Amino acid sequence: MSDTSTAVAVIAQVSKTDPATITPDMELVADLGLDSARALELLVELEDKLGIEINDEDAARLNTVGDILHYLEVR
Amino acid sequence: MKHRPLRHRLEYSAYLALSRALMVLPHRAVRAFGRGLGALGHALDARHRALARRNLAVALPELDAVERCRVVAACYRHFGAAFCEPLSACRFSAKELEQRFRIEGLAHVEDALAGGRGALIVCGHFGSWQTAIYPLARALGTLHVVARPPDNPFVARDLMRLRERWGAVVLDRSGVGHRVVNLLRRGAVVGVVIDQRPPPGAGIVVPFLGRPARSTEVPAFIATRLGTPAVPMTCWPHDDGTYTIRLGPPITTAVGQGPEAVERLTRAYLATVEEDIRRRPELWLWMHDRWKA
Repeated sequence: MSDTSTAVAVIAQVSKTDPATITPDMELVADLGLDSARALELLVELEDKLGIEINDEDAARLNTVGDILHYLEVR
Repeated sequence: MKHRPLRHRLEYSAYLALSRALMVLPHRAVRAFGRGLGALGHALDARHRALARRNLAVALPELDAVERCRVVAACYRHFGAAFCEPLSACRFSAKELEQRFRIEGLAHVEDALAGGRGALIVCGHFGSWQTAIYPLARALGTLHVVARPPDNPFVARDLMRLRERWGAVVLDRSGVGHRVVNLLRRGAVVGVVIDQRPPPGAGIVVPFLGRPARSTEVPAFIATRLGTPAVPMTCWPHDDGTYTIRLGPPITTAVGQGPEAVERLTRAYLATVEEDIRRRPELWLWMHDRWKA
């Protein structure tokens, strides 16, 4: 499974959303309804599943699905 | 935060006048002044006074009406003092910190840190929790604390400067969860206050003082994901202007457990605050609408 597929699966699981409906322009808070606890869960779950550690500055910039996918591409 | 430059500057002027005036008074006089402010608040603040009595009636039904009134009046006086004393305590020298603050159980933090996953210090809005930051930061070298900054940016900046004097690092609680995770991964000690109602829609419902109460699950979530122990802390103020900071045995958890573990741990953290409240109810913030649906 690619990092992108894993990330979408994690986003779907944490936000309880059908993965097929998730698009890059979706905002984590406004569109996927993540509160601060779920947003934290999403980041920690991504780190665990992908074996990465996201630093504070990068984490603060991840506001949309597209931000996450772009971060995983360029990191 | 609303941008209100004139109001902020007026508030800041009042804050500066009060805080600098307090700094020339002896610490016991500052506490006495604060208790007076609290008594004034009790006399004028009918809405929160009634809320505090209602909260007490349900949470501690063993208290009769007279006792509830006494506890609420003492609570206002205590929080008046608790509001003023950090402004006075920030000027203490290292020697005065040692003389005034007796720290019991510091070894529990060292035990918690031995696991290499950092340590949480959990406490409630109880006793002199804000004043404890100074001696704890000094004793530990560095202490990160998660706090809600005042809305006024000038006051917030000044308070942060005072709080950070002895090695405390204040983290704005808004969206700070992942930063706390990274700090704990590097072995930091992070203090969090756990007993207030989270924003609407957030948190989980667990019993608190016998009633279902929406409560933040973030500290317990972090603890379960990292395996970080949490050390309960209480700062007991004494009439002579000294304090006892009591750190309890770490509440531990295995790594990677699910939502049930998060709930169990949240309850365990809150139970430590409940124990203190039952001992000295007047030292807890009853004016907060803790059980609001």
